[in-house]
Amino acid sequence: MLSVQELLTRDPYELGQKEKESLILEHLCALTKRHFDNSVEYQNILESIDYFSATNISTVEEVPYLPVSLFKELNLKSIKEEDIFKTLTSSGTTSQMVSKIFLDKETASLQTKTLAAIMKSYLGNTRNPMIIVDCKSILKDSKIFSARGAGILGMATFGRNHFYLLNDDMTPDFKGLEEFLEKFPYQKIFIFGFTFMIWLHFLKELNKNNQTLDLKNSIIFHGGGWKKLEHLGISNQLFKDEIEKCLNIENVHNFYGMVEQVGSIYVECEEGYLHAPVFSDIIIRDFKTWKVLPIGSHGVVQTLSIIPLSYPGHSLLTEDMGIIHGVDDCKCGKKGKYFTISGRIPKVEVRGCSDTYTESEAP
Amino acid sequence: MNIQILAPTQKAITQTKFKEYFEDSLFQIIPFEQKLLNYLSSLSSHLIKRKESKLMPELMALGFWLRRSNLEKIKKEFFLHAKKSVINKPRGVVFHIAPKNVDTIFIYSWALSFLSGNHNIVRISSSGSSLISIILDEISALADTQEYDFINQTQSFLTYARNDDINSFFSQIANVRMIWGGDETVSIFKQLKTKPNTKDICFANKESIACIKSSAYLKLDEERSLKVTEDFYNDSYWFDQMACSSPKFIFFMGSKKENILCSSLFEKSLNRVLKKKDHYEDITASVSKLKNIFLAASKKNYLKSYDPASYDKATFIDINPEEFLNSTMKCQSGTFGKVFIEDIFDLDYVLKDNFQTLVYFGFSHSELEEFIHSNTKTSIDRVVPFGQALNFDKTWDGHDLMNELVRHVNLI
Repeated sequence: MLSVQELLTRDPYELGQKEKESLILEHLCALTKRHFDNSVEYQNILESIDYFSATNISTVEEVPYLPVSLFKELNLKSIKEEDIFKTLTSSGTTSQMVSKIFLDKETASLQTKTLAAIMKSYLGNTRNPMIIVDCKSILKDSKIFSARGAGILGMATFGRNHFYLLNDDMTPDFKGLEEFLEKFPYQKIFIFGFTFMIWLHFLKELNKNNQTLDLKNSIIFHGGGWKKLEHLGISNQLFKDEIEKCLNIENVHNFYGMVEQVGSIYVECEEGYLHAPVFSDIIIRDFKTWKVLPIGSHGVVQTLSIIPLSYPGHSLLTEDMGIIHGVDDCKCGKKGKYFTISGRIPKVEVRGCSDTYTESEAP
Repeated sequence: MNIQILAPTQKAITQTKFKEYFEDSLFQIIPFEQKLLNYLSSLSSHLIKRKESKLMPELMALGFWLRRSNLEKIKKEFFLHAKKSVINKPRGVVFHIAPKNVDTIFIYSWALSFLSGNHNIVRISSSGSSLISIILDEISALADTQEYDFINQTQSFLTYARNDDINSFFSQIANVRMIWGGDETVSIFKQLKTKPNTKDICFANKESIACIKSSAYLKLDEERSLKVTEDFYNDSYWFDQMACSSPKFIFFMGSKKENILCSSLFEKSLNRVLKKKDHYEDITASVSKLKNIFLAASKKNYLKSYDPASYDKATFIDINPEEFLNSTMKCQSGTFGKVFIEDIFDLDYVLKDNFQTLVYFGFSHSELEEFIHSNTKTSIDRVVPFGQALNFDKTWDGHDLMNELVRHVNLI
């Protein structure tokens, strides 16, 4: 079996699906076994659900999965308390329950390295001056990383001379930006931020001041979900158009990832499709039978990752909907499955007399 | 801040205007005055006639409850128990805080308050439903006639974005606050200042359970057992188990053998009903059900193996009675907790403080009476047969609402 370490030295998109699957299947089987032996809850689940098996797995589709929301209800981990190196939590702004992900040193290190391997294929080997569309204070609490803080720290290593665009009150520091850009005239800048923050606190603020910037040749990475933008009727295309208009940047990459599987993210190529790197894969399932759906069908996204060693999160049924558009034949040249995310599964609405007046009703 | 009146006449109004208007209030209506009954029974026939009511069973049920014969029954019962020396008067202004989501329950409590002759301010959530707009439409349309002009002076259905200032304002006008919406809403409103003698009727979070006497269910022939199960279906699936009166847990009472047999029969029968009703979970419910199944599986103290692909079936999750009290399982989307007990009196020690309705099958009236007498907890407000869990009654959550909404003037 090729180890993750060995995979890290290769191009993450060079393997065709068939070859990739047989490679990651070995990893996923080993992880299933590992978590079965080390997590009581995981073992109980595999033993109670008929069609799951811990040992008899012959295809990637047969790898048992967990609904991602389970990480909000249970402390799932396959390591001893004293081996916890870091605990990641989802930002959880809308619900009180947050996911808790327990990392040991090895998993944390693999997360960093896989992310680096993926980013390298988009950014190359040079580290460029970097604008982070967020405020610095988000990083202050180092004991428990929120998804936002962890995301920023993870990405910050791929740039240099970091400039945090936002003040603590979320207003953009345009004066600071000007000074930053004066230092690096006409250079390629690496911009990173959460989709919603870039839209609201950068692009909209530029619009307000009737201002545009010329950051030609720069590159933008953004992620963190479309939920808030969907609400405003903003599509990926509109987002890209607006970036081109305001910043003159064509090189815009959305990425799909989650706190439950940090590192092995899915990045959008120039054709507009998200790609699964060698460390991870996706499967689309039918919400009624949970059976695998064919290419082109709309369904619930399952994500696989060979990175989670310290918690049973190597195969997750997400709460996102998506479509796989093809395998190995994306025009961008990357191999493997390519897909788009079409939205989130609507939340359960409480009906009846004990309801949630307390949820903010103001828009 | 803006207050939007939705019915009887749509308009925006300021607090100051509202205050002026309420300071001049005269309470001239007496409980159960004829015009009150006339208005509600007209409303009843209008609601029943709406073509939507065929598709909305909640609307039909409300229309049916408001019909004249039922109102007369409520009136009769009220006076039957009234003391001779007491003259009944309205309490004054009742401020209703309606729950946010689709539910007609606050219309029932409004109707009782209306029958008591009170002036009513009903705060409706801004995320209103089509069901509520139909009801408000009809309330407004009727108020437009000369006969019912008094509605315009005495009743307001309104909405505003969550705002403590306006909540305080209405709380200080009110003689009674009727607070729906569960624990959190209740605690928000309890922190606001009211008149010293304002009466609060609070509806906290409640849960309900079903209890089946296994031996009685096992005796039923197929047709009868299907009918009983269908009643249970109506109780639980109507509001996706989210109504506080919908059973979330099913207790089977009997010997272990009887309970195993009965629960498997009941499960089969319920799945037949689901098939007949063409019921299946939507994607949200299906995902939430999947989580419930995995959560249950992770604890493993259950008897059988689970099939996550059960979007069109009911899922029963076994719970030991000893663990029931600590169970945090969220039963919804066709997931039911299943508990075996040997005796109905075993229910006493598993009862949580927030139990509202016990929906029963197979018990005699005297058995239940004995159980309620022997119950040592402060919970269980209603004990009703299968099929009646959602029927609103003027005795609700342990309150006799009709009596709470009138002022009893003692004349000696």
